[in-house]
Amino acid sequence: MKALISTFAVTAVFIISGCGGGGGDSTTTTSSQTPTLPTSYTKDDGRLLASQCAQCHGTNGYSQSDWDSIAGEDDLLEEFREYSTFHIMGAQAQGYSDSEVALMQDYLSKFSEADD
Amino acid sequence: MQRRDFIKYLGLGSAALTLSPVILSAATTPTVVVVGGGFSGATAAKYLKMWGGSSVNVVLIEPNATYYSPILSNLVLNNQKSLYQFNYNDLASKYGVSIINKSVNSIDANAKSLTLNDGSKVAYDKLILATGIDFIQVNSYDFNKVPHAWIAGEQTTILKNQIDSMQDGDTFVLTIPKSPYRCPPGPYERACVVADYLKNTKGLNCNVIVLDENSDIIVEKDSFLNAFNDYGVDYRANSTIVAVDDVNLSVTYNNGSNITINADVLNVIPRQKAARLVVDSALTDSTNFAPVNLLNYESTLVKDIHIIGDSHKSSQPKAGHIANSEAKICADAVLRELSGSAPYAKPKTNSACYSPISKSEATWLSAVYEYNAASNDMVKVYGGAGVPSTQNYSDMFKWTTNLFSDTFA
Repeated sequence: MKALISTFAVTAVFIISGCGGGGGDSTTTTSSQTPTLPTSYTKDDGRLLASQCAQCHGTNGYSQSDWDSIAGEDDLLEEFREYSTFHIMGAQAQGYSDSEVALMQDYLSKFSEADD
Repeated sequence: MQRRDFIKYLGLGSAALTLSPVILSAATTPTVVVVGGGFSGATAAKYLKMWGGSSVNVVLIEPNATYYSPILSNLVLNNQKSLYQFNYNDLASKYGVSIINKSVNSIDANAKSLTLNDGSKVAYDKLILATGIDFIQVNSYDFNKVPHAWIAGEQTTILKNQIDSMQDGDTFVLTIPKSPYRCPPGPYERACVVADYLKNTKGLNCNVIVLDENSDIIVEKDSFLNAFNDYGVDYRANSTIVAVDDVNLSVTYNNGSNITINADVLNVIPRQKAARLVVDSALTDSTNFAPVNLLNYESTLVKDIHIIGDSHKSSQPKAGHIANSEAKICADAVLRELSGSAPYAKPKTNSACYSPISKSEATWLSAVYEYNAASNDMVKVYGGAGVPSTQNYSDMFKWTTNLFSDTFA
């Protein structure tokens, strides 16, 4: 099992997109995350709720774009409530209760803050 | 026999060396098989391993080594981008997902095994079908002459080449299917992007006609209608497609009477249903999509088969962002069940989408859905929409960078 985990402990740059012709560009995504996979499943409601942030803020809150990382966030509720509903984050935030945001923060706050 | 076939496949994959000791030493480790490597399937495979680790074997069966994103593919048509393409190397190397590049012929739900296109079998404890859409054509015609370009890849290139061959005075006809279909704003976005390209980039005076089977623009009406007016798009609601002629390149529609119009480029987006495997496995109802328990996405018709993404039936839109969202709910519920727990009782999913309306402006919509036990549905609790801007166009790529990475990397 240790061998399995160590296999994943390689930091690398992954190119996830190429060029399909035409005049556009290709996309390169840098992923420096080193996933350490668990040996068993542990249920975590906050993790499930927070995973719904990842489409815009990156897996486990580590953004790969100029949008904010939310890994290590310790005041998520303020972030949720600071935008008007004319902002896409403000519109999203309307769908979540304070207690749900608290559960998300419980999970995200366990991660170290991103460098960005 | 099935177990031997399964291990044989692991031996073919790049993850064989990392995975085989786990498989061989833990014969009771459950196997979750995911069929389909789009936004829902790739996300499900990744998160099953990220959260379940070595407690679960995850096999992703996807016939194509490369996935072409439908998201942003309209920007290929106006020459702003190339197709965004992804492979499954990260899922294998970082998360230990076993990839099988074959297609599935059939499901034996009693034996809990799949038969692949080469006749081999793969056993599963839990099966997740993320197979996307299939088309319902009004009559037989050649997609190479009348492209849909609604599954990205070669079809996108065919349509782009046709649009690039258009001359002054030519006519582009786009037809929009009756809802539900994949990516609700997508056809309106395409009409805007193509009209802007023909008029403002190529300087042509072309006709752009939109035949919508729906009674009105179904999302972001103000943004798209304003853009249609700016570009001179001829929008015709309540236009049910009756026939498509790929020889004369004409389409017949009915809005009270039958009307046939000729096109120089004809882009028919057909009506849609669940993918063939889901239909053939008797997992659909009269809506042509698969009814599921929305706490875990398990079929209400067949045990231990889960359907996520565009093939399943619910009030959630059929689109990549929310397909990723659904996959996480399903993956977590499957892992809970395998470890003896009930699914999370109050799941929430979200939808977000940026839609370009030109080569420099985009709009957005977003919505949050929550589980409603009484209706066994995911009900929208809030929806919002933006207005076209260059800031939104820039933000669109910040969104897709993280969505693509969260799904495939």
